[in-house]
Amino acid sequence: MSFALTLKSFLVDRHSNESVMLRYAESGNKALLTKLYTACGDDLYHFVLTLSEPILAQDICQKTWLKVMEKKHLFRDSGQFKAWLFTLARNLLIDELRQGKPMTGDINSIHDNAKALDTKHQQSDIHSVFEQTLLSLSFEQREAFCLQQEGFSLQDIANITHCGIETVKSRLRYAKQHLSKQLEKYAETDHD
Amino acid sequence: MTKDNEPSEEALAKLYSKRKAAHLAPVSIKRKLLEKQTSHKTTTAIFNRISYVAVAASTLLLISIMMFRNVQFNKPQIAYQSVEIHSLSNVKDLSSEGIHNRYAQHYKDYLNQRKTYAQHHQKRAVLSVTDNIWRLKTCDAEVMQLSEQLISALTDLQQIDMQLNSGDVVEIAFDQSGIILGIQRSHTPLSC
Repeated sequence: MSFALTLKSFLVDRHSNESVMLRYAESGNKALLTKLYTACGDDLYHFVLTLSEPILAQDICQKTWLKVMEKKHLFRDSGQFKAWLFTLARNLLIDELRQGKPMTGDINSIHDNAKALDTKHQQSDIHSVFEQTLLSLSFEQREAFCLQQEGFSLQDIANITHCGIETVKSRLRYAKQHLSKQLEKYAETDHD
Repeated sequence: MTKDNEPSEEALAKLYSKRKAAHLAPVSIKRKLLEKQTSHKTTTAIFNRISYVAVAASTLLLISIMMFRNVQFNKPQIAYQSVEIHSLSNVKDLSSEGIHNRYAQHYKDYLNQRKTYAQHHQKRAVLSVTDNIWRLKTCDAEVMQLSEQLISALTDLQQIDMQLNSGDVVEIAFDQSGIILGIQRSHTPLSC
């Protein structure tokens, strides 16, 4: 029984992102990198896309994966690979935003969209409402919400976004309240 | 409100998942990443190979230097003393016997010079003149006989006191190589 458990944990551990990353750091094997990309590539792109716009998101994702290749030796065994990956991407994105690169999805334009949403929902389905409402959130609330949806704990989110747990809780609360409110409004309108 | 419209955590998670499924990472990111990985690996492999060659070459060089030094250290050390012989001779005796004789004569002179040099610290001696032959007797009962040529040379150079008589105590001046440079009367009695 204990042998079976040990074998199971060995096999599970061997295929975890962290284990794959450690093996990639040692060997630089292309197949392992592909495996990591398959596991986290879409999640990362969606996260960055939600915080920016398609071209910038693509650029940031490429740079992030290049960093994974170049800085693979810096990955620590104790860390969670996905959290490390998202931290790299977020830092790159923040750098890009600080350099003042034009963004179609920046905070100001998103707030303008939000105001428009408050007055009238022009979307045809709930997914569009969700999309618009999500993008109307502030950058910090959006990133906190996305990170939680990606399965990160409050502590992980605090680490990735470099702020305290209470701040993260507050951002999440506001984000969810806002999303719920807009979706309720939509539901009421839809039923009317 | 339908289940989809319900603004609960579960509904938000579903909407988020659907949004993510609709915004997958472009294939170009993966393609470019794998291209970079290949070129990065090639560059790394070349660099590694160059470093290995450099390390091997420097190791070989170090070993060669160490071996050469060992050979040098293990060579038997031959103790020798060089004797420089300078003379002008009118006799054009180039036969091997003549050269041998001249060499023997010079070596004899050299040995005498060494003997004189060994005594150079004994600067004081008693002069003894018999049959116009000058002899200097030191406290060690060593007797140095001065050649007529030396006496005449020192006289020419005014480095010898011509008022000296047999039995006088004299001070002998030597140079570094033990050659007598001058003989002067000493006013201090010699006490051996």
